[in-house]
Amino acid sequence: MRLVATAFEQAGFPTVVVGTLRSPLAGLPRVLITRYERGQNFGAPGDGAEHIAIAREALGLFDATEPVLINHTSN
Amino acid sequence: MPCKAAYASPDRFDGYTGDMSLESNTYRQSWAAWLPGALPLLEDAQYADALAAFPRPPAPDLAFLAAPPSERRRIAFVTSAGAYDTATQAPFVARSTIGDISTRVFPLDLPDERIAFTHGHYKQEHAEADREVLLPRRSLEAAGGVLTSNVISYMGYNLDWPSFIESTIPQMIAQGRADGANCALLVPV
Repeated sequence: MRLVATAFEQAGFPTVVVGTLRSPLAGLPRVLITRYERGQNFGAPGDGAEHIAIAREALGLFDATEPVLINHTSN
Repeated sequence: MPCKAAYASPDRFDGYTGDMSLESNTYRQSWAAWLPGALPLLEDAQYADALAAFPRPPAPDLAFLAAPPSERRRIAFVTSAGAYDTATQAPFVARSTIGDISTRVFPLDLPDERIAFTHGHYKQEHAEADREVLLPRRSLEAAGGVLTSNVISYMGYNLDWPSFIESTIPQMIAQGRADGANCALLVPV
């Protein structure tokens, strides 16, 4: 995903990446890391409140004015 | 020697497929030199050994881009989960030794039951039980996000990076542009 995010940025699209592994995404402009297993980036199946909480935090990263890589901590 | 055409450059994002010749693309040269030794390892699922010497293009320095104000954001949703529309599209080729560089584009409002995943390198059971864990279309909208009209999907297991860079990524960016996106949210697996 690093290649894709980089290319979108180079093409003029600000990006937010929501992943579960920090090291492959370090250095990208806006990254949210969740604590879930690979393949359930937005939380466990059926946990709609957590899905929305992560979505809200991810969307908030578009407001960042400098590079940011943070962990999602709710729930 | 610096890699030429290591990343797609902005002037290549609207359908230009680039110069794919071995002679003129130093990154493709380094990838082609890696491949013969890696193939037997990949076929034996020895991924760590196969990828130990995988050539990667140099990461460019990115200028930090300010996003449009929230009321004007139109977000392209991009995932490497290998999602596709079971009624109109073929699955990705997860069994391929070097993966699959193709992409699938399907409507944002496609019903959950029409969406399946082919990848092979993560547990798909969670997303099969609840698409929102990887394709949080309703969750993003509930959180105030405005997504563009299509999901852009590819399979994260792909090792033909020269072709992915020169061909697939420009297709995805062109799709985002065609859909009117001015920013992108990416969900890797």
